[in-house]
Amino acid sequence: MLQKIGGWAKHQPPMDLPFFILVITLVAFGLVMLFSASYAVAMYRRNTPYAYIRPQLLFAVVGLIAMYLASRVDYHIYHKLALPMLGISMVLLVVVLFMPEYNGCKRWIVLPGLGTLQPSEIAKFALILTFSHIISLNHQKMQGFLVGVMPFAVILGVLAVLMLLEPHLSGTMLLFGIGGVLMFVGGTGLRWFALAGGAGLGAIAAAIIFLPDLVPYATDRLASWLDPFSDPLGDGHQTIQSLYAIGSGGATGLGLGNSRQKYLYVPEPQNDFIFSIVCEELGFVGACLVIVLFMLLLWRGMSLALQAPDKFGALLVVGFVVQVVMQAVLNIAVVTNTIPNTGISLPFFSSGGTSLMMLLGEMGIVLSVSRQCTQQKY
Amino acid sequence: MREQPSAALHRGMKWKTRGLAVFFSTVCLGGLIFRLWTLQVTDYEFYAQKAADQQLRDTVIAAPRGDILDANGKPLAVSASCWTVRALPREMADEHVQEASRVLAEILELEEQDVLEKLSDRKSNDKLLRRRVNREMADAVQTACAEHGWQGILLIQDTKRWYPEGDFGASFLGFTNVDNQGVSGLELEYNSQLTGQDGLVLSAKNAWGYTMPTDYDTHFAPVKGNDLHLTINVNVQHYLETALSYAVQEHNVTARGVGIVMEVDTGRILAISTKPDYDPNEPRVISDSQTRQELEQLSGEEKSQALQLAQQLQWRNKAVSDLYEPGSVFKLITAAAALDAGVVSQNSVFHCGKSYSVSGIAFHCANHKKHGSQTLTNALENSCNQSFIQIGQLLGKEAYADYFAAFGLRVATGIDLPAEPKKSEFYTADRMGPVELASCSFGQSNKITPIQMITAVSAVVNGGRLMQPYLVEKITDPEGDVIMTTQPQVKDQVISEETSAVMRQMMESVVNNGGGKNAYVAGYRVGGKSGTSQKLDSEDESARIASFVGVAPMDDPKIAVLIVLDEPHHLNNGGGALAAPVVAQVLEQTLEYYGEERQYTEEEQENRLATLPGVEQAEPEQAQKDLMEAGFATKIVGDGAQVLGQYPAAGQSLPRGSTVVLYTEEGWDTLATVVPAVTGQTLEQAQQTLLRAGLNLRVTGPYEDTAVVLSQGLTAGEQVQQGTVVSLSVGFLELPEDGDSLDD
Repeated sequence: MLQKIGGWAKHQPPMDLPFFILVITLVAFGLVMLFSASYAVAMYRRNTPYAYIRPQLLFAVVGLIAMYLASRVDYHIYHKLALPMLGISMVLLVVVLFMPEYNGCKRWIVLPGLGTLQPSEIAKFALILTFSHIISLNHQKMQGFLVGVMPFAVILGVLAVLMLLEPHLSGTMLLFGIGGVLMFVGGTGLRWFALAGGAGLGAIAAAIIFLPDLVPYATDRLASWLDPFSDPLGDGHQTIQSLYAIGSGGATGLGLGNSRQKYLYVPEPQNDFIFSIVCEELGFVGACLVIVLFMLLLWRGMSLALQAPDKFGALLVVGFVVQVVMQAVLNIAVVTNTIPNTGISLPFFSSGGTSLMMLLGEMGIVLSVSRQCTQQKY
Repeated sequence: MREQPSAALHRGMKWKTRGLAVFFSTVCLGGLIFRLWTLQVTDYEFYAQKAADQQLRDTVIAAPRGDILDANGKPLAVSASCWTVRALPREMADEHVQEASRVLAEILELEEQDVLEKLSDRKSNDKLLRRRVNREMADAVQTACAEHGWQGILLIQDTKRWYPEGDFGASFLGFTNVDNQGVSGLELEYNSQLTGQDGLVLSAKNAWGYTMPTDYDTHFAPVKGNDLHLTINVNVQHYLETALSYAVQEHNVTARGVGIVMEVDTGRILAISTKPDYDPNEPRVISDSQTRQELEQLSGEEKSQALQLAQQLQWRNKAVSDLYEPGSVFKLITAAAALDAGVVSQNSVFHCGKSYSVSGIAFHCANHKKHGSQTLTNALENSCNQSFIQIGQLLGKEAYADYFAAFGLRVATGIDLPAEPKKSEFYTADRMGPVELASCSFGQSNKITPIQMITAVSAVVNGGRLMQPYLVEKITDPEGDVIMTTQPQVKDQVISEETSAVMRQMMESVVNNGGGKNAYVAGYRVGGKSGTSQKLDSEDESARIASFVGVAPMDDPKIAVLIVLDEPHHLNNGGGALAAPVVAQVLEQTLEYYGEERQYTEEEQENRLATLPGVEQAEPEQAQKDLMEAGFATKIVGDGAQVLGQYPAAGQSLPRGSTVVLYTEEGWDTLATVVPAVTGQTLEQAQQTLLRAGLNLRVTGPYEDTAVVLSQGLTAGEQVQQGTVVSLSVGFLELPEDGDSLDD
C-alpha cells in the first residue's frame, strides 16, 4: 500500500481529459457566478463584496490540488478505506447532534479556522465507497435479499436515522437516491425496489393515520408549493422571489452582474438559490448552458464507468457522478418550484468551501478511475 | 497486493448505467429545461412585470401647471418649485430617530411628537412629513441630514401654484388643491389644458428600499401644462376691484358685490370680480374680517361647518353663478325689444299717473312719483314703471318672451368659467299673465346672472349682435406654439343697427339728464341705466340690489361696465346713487388706460385737465403769466427774483383753475396743510373747504355744485403740501327713483 501511495510520482496513464475539462469549466463558471450572486449580500452582511468569493476561491484551489492528487492515487485503496470511512461518518453524524443549532438544524461541525464541515457530505462519500465495495465483492449474489438488500438497508437505515435527527431531510433523500442507484446498477433484484416503493407508500399511509398532526403541516407545504403566491410574505416568499429572478431573466438575461433580485430579494442568492441568479443574469440560454454542462459531465462519467477496468471503479464513478447530477437536478427543481422547497445546494456553484473541496476530491477519484480505463484515452 | 475482485461491468450493468444516463438526461435535466422555458420565455412578461414592480421605486416629478397670463402677458398664476419632505423610517438608524425628530420638527415647523411618531414606525417605507416647503426649508433639511449623517429623509421636487398678484382676480382665476388640480375658476375650467404631464424617475431599489448601485435609472422629464392668455387686463381688473371693494365696504354691502367690464363688440371680458373674495394663494383663509371674527367665536363641529360655508361662499363666482333680479336695468331690454318690434318709437308718449292698474293690481312708480306725460326717452331717464308696463303691453307676451330668449337671457352664456347655471328663472309666454308681463316689463320678475345682463346690454349698444363672452384669448403649449385661439363669435343678431342707435342715444340721455347722472365722466360720452330691485325671495323686505350698467363712448361704444351691489345698507340704496359712481370711476380709468381721447363740451372745457408747465428759473411775474395762460392760478411764496420751486411739479396734469405754489427764496419751508373731511358735503362746499386749506381738487362724476362728495382720495387729517390735488368722487343721492312699485 505504501508503494501504491508512493507511486504518485511515477509515470501513470493519463486521466480522462474531457471529464477533467468539464470539471474545470464547472468550477470556473461556478466561481464567476458566485462572485456575481454573492456581491450584494456580501456587501450587506460583511461590508465587503469578497466575503463569499474569497474563501471559495481558496478552497477551489486547494480542491483542485486535492483532485489532482486523488487522481494519482490508485482507487483500489478505497476497498480498505470504505468501512473505516463509514465508521468515521457515523461518529461525525453523532457528534454533529451535539453542535449548536443553526436555523433549527444541527448540520454543521465548526472547525475553527477552517470553516464548517457537513458530516452528511462525509456520509455520502462513505456510502458510495462502502456500497461500491460491497457490490463489487458480491455482485453475483445481488438478486437475493440477504446479500442484495440487507447490508445496504442496514447502512442506509442507520445513516438515515442519524441524518433525520439533525434533521436533514434533503440529505437523507439524496442518500437514498445514490444508494438506490448503486444497488440498481449493482444488480439488486428489481422486485426489491418495487417492494421498497410499496413500503414507502405504506409508511406514508401509516403516517397519515397514526400521526394526523403532520397532515396539516404537509398540506400547507404542498399548498405553498402548488401556489406560492397564496402566501407571498410567508412560506411562498423564497419561491416567489426565486421565480421572479428566473422569469425576469427572459431568454437572454439581464447580463452578467446585472441581477436585481440578488439585492436582498432572493434569500441566500450565494447558496441554494444561486441558480435563480444565473437564470436572471444569463437568461434561458445561460441556464441551459449550466444544465448541458451537468449533462455532459453525466455522459462522460457514465462512459468512463462503462470503460472502467472493474466493477468497483465503475460503481465509484457512477456513484460520484450521479451524486453531482442528482444534487443539481434537485436544486434546480427546487428553485424553479418544480418540487417542494428543500435545502439542497448546487454543486460547483453554491458557496461552501469544504463541500466544494470534497466534491473536487471525489472528482479526483473519478479521474483516478479514468486513468485505468481501457479505451478512448485522449 | 490485492486480487482484482471483479472484472468490468457485465452487460446488464452496462445497460442499466446507460439507462440511468438517459433517464437523468431526458426526464430530469430535459424536464428542467422545459420548466425553465415556461418560466423564462412563455411567462417572461408576467415575472418581469412582477419583479419590476417590487424592484423599482418610481418617483413622480410633478409637472408644473401652465401659467395664466393677462392680455399683456403679465403672469396671474404661475408654478413655483417647492419640495415635499418624506421619510423612509426604516432606513434611519435607531439612534438617530430622537434627534432627527427634534431637529426636523424645528425646521419644518411641525410638532416634535408627530414627527417622532412617524419616524418611530420603524417598518414604514414612506411617511409624509410636510408637503410643499420652500427652498430655504428644503435646504435646511438637506444640510441637517448631511451634517448628522441621517439616512432616510427624502426631498422630492414638487410644484406649487402661486398667484403673484395675491388677493386679485380670485373669482375668475380660482385655485388649486394639494394635488395641483383646479378647484374653481379658470383653474377648474381649463384644468386639463393647464395640467402638465408628470415626470417619472424609475430607479432600482433593493428589498430594503435603498437605491441600488446600478445604472437602472430611467427619467421621463415632466412636461409643463399649456399657458392661458386671457382677455383680462390687469390694469382694468385693478380699477374694477379697487372701486368695487371700496363701494362694498363703504355701503355695507352684505351679500357681496359684482363687477364686470366687457368689450361690447367682441364679448371679451376685460375684468370680472366679486367682492369680497379671497387670496387664491390662501383660498381657505376667510378674507372677510367680520366673518372671520364671527368664526372665532364658534368652536368644534359648529365652527368647521360655518367655516366650510364661509369658504364656499367666498369661492362662489357671483358674477357667473348667481341669479339676481336685474330690476330697472332690464328696462333697456324691454325698450330695445319694443323699438325693434316697431310697437313704439323714440317719441311715443305714455302717461304716468298715480298708479296704473293691470287686472286689478295697481302698479306705482318708485316713491309714488307721478311722472306725467313721458316719451320713451323720458321713461328711461325717469325709470318710469307705468310707462314700461304700457310698453310691455304693446309688445305682447309672445314677443317679449322671444326677445328675452334672443338676448340670451334664458340659457347659460357659455362663458368659459365653471358653475354657470344652465337656465335662468323666467316666465315663458304660456305661463305669463298680464300681471307677470307688467312686472317683467320693468325687470322685476325674472332672475338672470350678471354675465347674462351685461352680454345682453352689449348687444343693445353694439348694433344688436349678441356676442359670446369669453376670458381665454388663446392657449399656447410650453414651446409657445398657439394651440387654440378664440375668435369673437356672434351668436345672434337680436335687434337692428337702427334700434341700437336709438338705444345708445337714449342711454346717453339717461346719464346726462336722468337717473344715471352719477355715471357722468367729463370728456367721455357715457350712457347707462340704473336698477334698484327688491329681492323677491328674501325675507328682508327692505333688501335691495343696487346696480348700474354703463357704456362708453356712446358714439362708438367700446366698453360696458356692470356693477351689482347686493344688499347695500346706505341712506339711499338706489343703483343710481351707489353703483353708478363705481361705474363712472371704472369707465374713466379704463378709457383713459386704452388711450380713448376725451371730447370736452364747452362747459367741461373749463374744468378739464391741463398739463402744468414748468416755470422754475423764471421771474415770478413771468411765471404767473405763463401759468395763467395755461389756465392755472398761482400763489407766490417769498420775495425772491426767481422761481426756485413749484408745487405741483411740472408735467403733471390737473384741472384748470388749480392753484400752483411757487417758491422764490432759498430755505423757505414748503407750505403744509391738513386734508379736511369733505365727504358728504356738496361739491360747492367741498371746493371752498379745500380752497381754504390750499388744496386743489379733481372731480369724478357730475360736475355740478349740488352734487355730493361720495368719497375723497386723500384721507382727512393727512398732512400734505399745499397745492396737492385731492380726487373727489361726486354724485347725486337724490335721483329719479328706479325702484319697483311692489313695496306697498
